[in-house]
Amino acid sequence: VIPTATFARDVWRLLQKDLRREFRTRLTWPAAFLMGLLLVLTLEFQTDLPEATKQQITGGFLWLVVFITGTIGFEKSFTDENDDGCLDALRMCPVSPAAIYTSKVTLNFLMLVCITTVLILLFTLFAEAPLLDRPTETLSVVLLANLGLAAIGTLIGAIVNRIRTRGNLIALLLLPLVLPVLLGAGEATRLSMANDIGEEFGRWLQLLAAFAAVVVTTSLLVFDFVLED
Amino acid sequence: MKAVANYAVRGEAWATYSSAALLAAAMLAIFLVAPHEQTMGSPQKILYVHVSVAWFGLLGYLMTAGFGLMYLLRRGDVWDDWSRASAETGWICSTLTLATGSLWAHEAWNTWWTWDPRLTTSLILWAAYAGYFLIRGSIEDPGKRARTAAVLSLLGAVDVPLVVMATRWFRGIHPVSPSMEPTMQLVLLLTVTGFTCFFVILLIRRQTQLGLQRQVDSFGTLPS
Repeated sequence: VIPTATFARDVWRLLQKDLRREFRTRLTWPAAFLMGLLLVLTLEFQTDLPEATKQQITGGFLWLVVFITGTIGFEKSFTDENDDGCLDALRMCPVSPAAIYTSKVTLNFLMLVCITTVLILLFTLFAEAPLLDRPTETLSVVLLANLGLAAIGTLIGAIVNRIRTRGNLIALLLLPLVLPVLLGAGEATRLSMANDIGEEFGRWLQLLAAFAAVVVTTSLLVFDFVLED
Repeated sequence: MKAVANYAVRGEAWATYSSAALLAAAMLAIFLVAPHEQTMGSPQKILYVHVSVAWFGLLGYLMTAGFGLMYLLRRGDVWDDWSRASAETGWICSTLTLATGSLWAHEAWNTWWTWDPRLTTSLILWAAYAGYFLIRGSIEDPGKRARTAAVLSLLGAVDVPLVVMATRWFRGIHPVSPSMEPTMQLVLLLTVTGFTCFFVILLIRRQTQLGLQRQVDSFGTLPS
């Protein structure tokens, strides 16, 4: 049993390492932001629709763009670690696999929250979507949905990198697994924009929370098996 | 030992014949015994098959995850064979569920497909296991393949409660436990039992086949 303080310290150090690496290389986050911007511009250019119709579909668009940009981060989470043997070195250190997983999830969660914030501003600017009208509700959807996305995305990223499969397998594997999050977040965002904060909104939020809790727990338990050679 | 093997072969043959007879009886009961439904008419009979395959579809995925967990804990190849056989059987049932559901929807709702919560979550489950087979096919190392598939099956199993509860949690048009006549209930029970026996036999046979395949593979290439 690893003491909580040791676990938290390991997670913090690993997170610092990954943030430092990202700050030095500036590869993943800028690529994800640029991809997000281009997707928003493309979608808005292609969908010249009445404002009411736009409000109906902006929630779905937002979470689809978050997913696509997020896959860049998920895929990169373990690529560098694998390529330079860093992951093998980490496994030799007295660091639990759960700490490695938690640090990667935290990193991806931070990236997703930052990307979603920028995307919300872009959709507000270009689509005049009332995403900022109910900040508390929007924030709760953003936090819960991104936690579920980061938890499952990080695990699938690790699997795809460990098996060294070429091709865009991560999106194929990830999309069916995260569809409940994308649908739930899209619907909750639509209801929030329509100012319809009632029982249905609460149920979608509960779905997002339950999904995140189950996926985080399952992933923490199985991550050790993913790292095995 | 040879006598035990003979009994096993005979037992499996008897089980196969019995399940075939049960399935045939269920089919006859659907068309000859089950009462004619007033609103939908004959297309309502799809329901008996639809419920039977849908039930085993969900069970198949839970078994895939269960056997996958056993593989991770025990590391016996036999658990991976069971897990793969369950996934294949479950996926066949899931495909049949979507197909029969679509036929039923066309008659009941006048559309082949609608984005009802139950239908959507069923499609997600089907797609998740398509990904499971995709990753199995892309890994050559048997140990790594079994381990990765087991982890994925556990993640996929998260979707099963969503499929089951979708009609209760979210408003949709898919029926939830509709009331039926006692004869209809009996026919449904017979059909579910018949299909369950048939798919269990299919599962056992596939697992045996996978075990034999592994033995053949372990012989390696014969010298020329």
